[in-house]
Amino acid sequence: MNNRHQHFSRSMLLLLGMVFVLTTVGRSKATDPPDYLEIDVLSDRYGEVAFDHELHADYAACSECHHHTTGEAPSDPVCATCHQAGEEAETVSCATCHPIHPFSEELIEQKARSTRYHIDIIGLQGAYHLNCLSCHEAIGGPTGCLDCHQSQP
Amino acid sequence: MNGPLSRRNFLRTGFAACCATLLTTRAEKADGREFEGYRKSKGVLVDLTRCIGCRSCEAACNREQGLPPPETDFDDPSVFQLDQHGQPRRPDDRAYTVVNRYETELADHPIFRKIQCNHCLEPACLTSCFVNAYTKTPEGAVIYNADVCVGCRTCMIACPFSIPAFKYSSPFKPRIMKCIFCYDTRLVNGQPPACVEACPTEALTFGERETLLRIGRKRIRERPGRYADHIYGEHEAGGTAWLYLSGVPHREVGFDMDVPKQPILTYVKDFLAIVPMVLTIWPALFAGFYLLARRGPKTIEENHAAQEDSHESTGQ
Repeated sequence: MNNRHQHFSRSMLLLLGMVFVLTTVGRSKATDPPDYLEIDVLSDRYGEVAFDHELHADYAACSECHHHTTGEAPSDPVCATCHQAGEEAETVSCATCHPIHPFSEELIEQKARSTRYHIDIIGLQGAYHLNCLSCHEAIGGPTGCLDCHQSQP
Repeated sequence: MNGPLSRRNFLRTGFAACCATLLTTRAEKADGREFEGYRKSKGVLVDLTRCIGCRSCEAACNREQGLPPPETDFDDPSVFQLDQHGQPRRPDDRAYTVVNRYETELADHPIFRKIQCNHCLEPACLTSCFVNAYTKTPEGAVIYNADVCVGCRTCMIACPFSIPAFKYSSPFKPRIMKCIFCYDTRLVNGQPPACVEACPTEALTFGERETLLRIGRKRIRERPGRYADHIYGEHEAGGTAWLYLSGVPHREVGFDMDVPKQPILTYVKDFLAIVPMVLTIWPALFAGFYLLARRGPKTIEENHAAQEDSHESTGQ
């Protein structure tokens, strides 16, 4: 009886431990993606987009949309000349690099004085449309405005 | 003989005046040629490879400029058909910008091109206007003042891109209609024009012209297979604020490649420099000849009479 109890609690501990280890490992990895996203950063201009992240992960590698930020080698050879595999960024959110207002006075001034390579980072609106549309056209995904956007009120 | 208008005096003064006018016009001409556009002026880089022909820019322009509603909706693709003369659409008094569709064998998909005023660095419309209705602002816009316009429409002929349109519905209050870069509502506040903000694919990039040229060259250098190796507007018509990248040679999608590389003004400057000289010196010169010719016999008679008088007086 005592022996059985010990065995049971040991296996429970093991199970709990495994669950703990798995969840923490899962959390610490940036590649743990949400299954479903509401893209509403630009909802003042467009109806928000319900984005099925899990579905898209079946069609494209992370780097197709997230470039080099997830730690995968970037799929664009131009990016790959500098960004290597394994360099994981702090955040993979699109708006971190692609500005919501790409033509603000500060950004224009910054670009004019910049000696950096990246003077041509496309705004968020353009980044979404160009990246999504090019792939949707290539593999026959939906391309109409209302296929993704909810109609505006 | 040594009166106020003797032949020698007249020729001497005339020659001096000619030299002076020639010297001053030369000096003015040299100064005028050194203008290379305002520093830090703004522009737009149009990337035809990104345009999907949605006409959001047209709709945004219409709203921003308070233009009359279009004949067909902005999502009606029938406007891409050529007209009965086989010509694509042009901006007119109801639309400051239009998007046209081009089919070419060099691409497996249609290519769209937005047209509007290119906002030249040295605009031909401005130099052709004799009432100075046009202004090139330091921000880069070519704007127009309807209050002084007399409706001569010389600007419509001068423009190498056939952009200014006349509002024929208002003949007694002449009004040229053309894109003004959203100058009064946006550009003065450092904001991009309405079309740029509306473009969903950022086919229109707003910024300082110098930065846009750097961006354009970078795109061409990095993806030589995607772009034709030319930025239309870098040198065309002496340089324009709006610049164009294309995936196929620009000629294929309706760009006029015969537009000269110098400002249109260069072609008329030499002629225009002579105009003041002709207008000031020629009348004086020919009036002088005429007067000399008319005065000749009379003066001789008077001289004879005067000489006779003097002979008589000396004889006495």
